[in-house]
This record gives sequence, C-alpha cells and structure tokens, in this order.
Amino acid sequence: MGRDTVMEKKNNAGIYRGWIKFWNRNVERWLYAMHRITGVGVGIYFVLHIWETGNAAQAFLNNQPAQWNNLMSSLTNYAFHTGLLLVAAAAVFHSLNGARLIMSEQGWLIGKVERPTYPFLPSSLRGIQRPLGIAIVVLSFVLMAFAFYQLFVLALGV
Amino acid sequence: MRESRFMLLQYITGSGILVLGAMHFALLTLQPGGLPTSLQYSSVKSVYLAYGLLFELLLVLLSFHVFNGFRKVLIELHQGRTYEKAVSWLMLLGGSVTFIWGTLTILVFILGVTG
Amino acid sequence: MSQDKGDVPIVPLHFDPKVMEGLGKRIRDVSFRVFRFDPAKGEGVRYSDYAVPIFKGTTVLDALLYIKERLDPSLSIRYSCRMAVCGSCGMVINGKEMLACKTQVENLGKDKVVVRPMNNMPVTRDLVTDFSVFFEKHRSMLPYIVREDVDLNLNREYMQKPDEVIDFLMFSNCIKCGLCYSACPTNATDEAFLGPMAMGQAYRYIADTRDGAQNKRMEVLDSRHGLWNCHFAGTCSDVCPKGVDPAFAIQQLKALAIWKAGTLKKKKPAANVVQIRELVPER
Repeated sequence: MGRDTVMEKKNNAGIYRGWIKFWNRNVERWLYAMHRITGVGVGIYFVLHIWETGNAAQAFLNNQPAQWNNLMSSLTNYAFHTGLLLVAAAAVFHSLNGARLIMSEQGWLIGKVERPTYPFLPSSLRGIQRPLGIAIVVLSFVLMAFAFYQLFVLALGV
Repeated sequence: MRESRFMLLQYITGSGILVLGAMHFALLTLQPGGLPTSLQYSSVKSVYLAYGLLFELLLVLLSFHVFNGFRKVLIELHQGRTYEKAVSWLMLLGGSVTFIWGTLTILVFILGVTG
Repeated sequence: MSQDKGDVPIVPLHFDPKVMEGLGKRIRDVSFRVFRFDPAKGEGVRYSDYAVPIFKGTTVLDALLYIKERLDPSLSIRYSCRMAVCGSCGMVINGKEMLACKTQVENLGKDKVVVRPMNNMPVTRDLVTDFSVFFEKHRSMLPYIVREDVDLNLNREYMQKPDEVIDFLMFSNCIKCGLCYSACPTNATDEAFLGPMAMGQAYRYIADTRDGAQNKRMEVLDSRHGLWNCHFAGTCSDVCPKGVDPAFAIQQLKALAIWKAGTLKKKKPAANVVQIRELVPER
C-alpha cells in the first residue's frame, strides 16, 4: 500500500501528551519536562527583570533614594515574593540540571556500551545521571527553603 | 553556523550563568541583613565597577542562552523554512534589544554611583 | 566461535512445574477500549469497548486477535511474528508504547486496557500506522556499511576484534518497531526531527570500524532538526523492547559532533584484508 492510498489522520502527540504529560514515564522525562518549564519561566522572568530594573534605574540618574525605596516597598508583598520564590527554585533547578545534561551529552554519566543480555536494560538510564538528577531535585528544594527564608522570613517577617 | 556550534555556545553560556548566577544570588542574600538590606538604595549605591562587570558578563551570557533556548523551543513547536528563519531573526533581535537595554541600565547604575 | 572475555556463563535452567499451573484456566474478563479510525468511511475517531476473557499468558495481541476473530472482524491490526522480533505490533497500551505480542494483560494490572495506535505517525486505519516517513528518515542515515574500497575487496573480509563488535552490537538489535519514535517528546511536535531510531542506527554504523561514511551522516545529523533537538528525555530507551538504548547513541553522537571525540575517539578503521576467501571458483 503506497502513501497515495493512505488518508492520514495527523497523529502527533502534541504539546500536552508529548511535552507535559510526564507522570507515567521515566525519571529523565520528568527532568526534561521540568527543565523546559523552568527554562521558559526563568527566560520570561529575565526579560521582565531587565526591563523593570532599567525603568527603576532612573531613580539613580535622578538621585532619588525615596523613589527607589518606594518601588522596592511596593514589590515587597506575598504575591510578588511567591513568584520570586518560584523563579529562584526554577533557576536553581535549571542550572543544576543543565550541568547534568551537559555532562550526559558528552557521553559521561550514561554508563558504557555492553554486550546485550536479557532483560536488555538500557545502560543510559542506569548510569549515574539518574541518581544525580534526583539529587538535583532534592538540592533545588533545599535552596528553595533558603530562598523562602530570605523572601518571607527576612523580608516579610513571616 | 552549524547547530553544534550553537549548542557549544549554549553549553558555555550555561556553565558561565551557573557560576555568575550563583555569585549574584550569593551577593544578594549572604551579606548582613540578607535580601531586604541588599536591595535598599544605600546598598545598591555602594556597588562598584567589579559588580557592574559581573552583571554585564551575566547579561551577555543570559541574552544568548535565553533567546537561543526560546529559538529551539519555538522551532520544535512548528516547522517551515520561512517560520524558522523568522523565529531565528526575531530571537536575535530580542536578545540584542535585551542586551542593549541591560547594558544601558548597568551604565546608569555605575554612572549613578560615580556621577 | 571463539569465547571472548566477559561471556555470560551458561547456567542450566531448572524447569519448575509451577509455571504450568493455571494454564488454560480463565482468570477474568478485561475491558478493552480500542481506538477506531476508518478514513474510507469518512468518520472521525471513536473508541470501541470489548470484553475479552483473559487466561494465564494472554498477551494484548492475543486479546486483539480474539476481538477480531469473535467480536469485531472490522478491527485492523498489524502483527507478524508474535515473539517480539519483527517489530510489527507496536502500539500505545495504557498510555505507554509497547509491543502487543510481548505485553501480557495480567502484567498490566488493570481491569481496563486502552489501546491506541503509535503516536507521531499518520494512522492508516484503527491501530495500523504509516511508517513511510519513519523509514525515509532511516534511509537518510545511510544505514549500511559505506567504504570507498569495497569494489577492490569483493571477496575479502573485514576483520574486527570482539570489543569492536560490542561497540555497535546492541544498536544492531533494533527491529524498527517505531516505539521510540512514538514515545519521543520532540517528535510529538517536530515533524522534521529525525527521531531516535534513525539516529541510533546512524551511530550503529558510525561506531562500526568497517564503515567510512561518518562525515556524510554527520552532515544530516548536525542540522536544525537533527541531534540537537534531542534533550535526553530517555523515553526512547525506556520503551525499547530490545534494549537498543538510542538515547545512549545520540549522546555519543553529540560528543562526536562537537569535539570529534567521545567513545569513537579511538576508533581505527578495520583492517581490510586479512584473508582471501574464494567465493567464486576461478574458471
């Protein structure tokens, strides 16, 4: 049967089943999805941060400490600091997981090629990169706790 | 430029951001008083040239890394020669504008300090 | 064949009669929800539900054939060997890519089994997908040994050491079932992406010391929809029924693309003449 006789249903998994639906998959797929989500999130924050800080810099040109401190006060609230907490956690995770990916993509951390023997388990998923990925998630939560202390305990007096 | 060269730059900038970003976070949070104190006008005013250079380097690395990352995600979402070219040029423009705006901001801070 | 180092020792199997217990005894009925799509009828996608009796050892393929033989002859499926060597019966079973002939229903542990065709390939009908683009991408990788001196050595042998064979052996086990292609998150949105199978097979030949077309393949691999759209999600290796580990192959190719290094750094071309074999007696 050639392609001419095939009436195709476009059958791509798409963004939801391809990128986002990771909970029924392997650990590395979770890390991939989180890497993408955190990357896009931190990237958007970066652009907004540059723009916002650029606007606030006017206070320095005009030598206006009150203008600057008022702006900082207006941004010191639960909603904004919750966002900052998520951004901090995302940045930490993305950086550390990125380091793990750089090393994996050099052929390190992914085990060695072996003579195939039953049950034919893949060596890349049994390499050091998997426990390292889990350790990175744990470390991200630990640093997130430190960020929580800075953003909520010190800044907001929670 | 071959895609592997883009990715090598993505690796290099990513590694640089890991180090410089950690320094940025550390300088914000590890001084006495933590984050609230470091964001006060008087603390920011005492920033010197070296700190400005750190920001500038971080800005260069982030401008490339972020917009190249956006480019890859957008090209994976949809394909086509015109679309891919348009995305590539748009991300180049976005990265350049972000870099220029950020550099001017850093100069203002330094000028503001020294002016 | 001579023994090389690291051979798996042969251990006599002890047959345990308990494995025969329950054979032929009906365990329960399991509900199968099967994706249906018939373009000839002009209808959209629908799902059909069937109750299938499950016995010990019943595979998903057995269940689908039961449906086809006794409940609904219009169901279309693709299968052949029934023993996980041909790669024909790949499908998405309860959200995960599997070979239907290799998947036992009891091992799924569910009372309801949802069966869909593989993702990222056009659906011909019901559970049958079109492999044309999948095979085109494979062909673009020059999936054969390429040597410039092949005409000079038609009746000669290219020798390899056992460890040189092991460098590519696991990748040669690929049965082109398409499960990795279906599971890949990049293929989910990027139709031009080469896919794990094609790139895994490119590595199989690049890693082979007999081959000489590394640069030609790398031109295709190091492109906008090649190697670098893989982000090591690893699902391809997770679902592969033959342990081919395409994710491993792709990461090695990335190191090669950037540094011309990685595990292939020490690759030397195979000696091309060791022994002359008389294939055709001279007249």
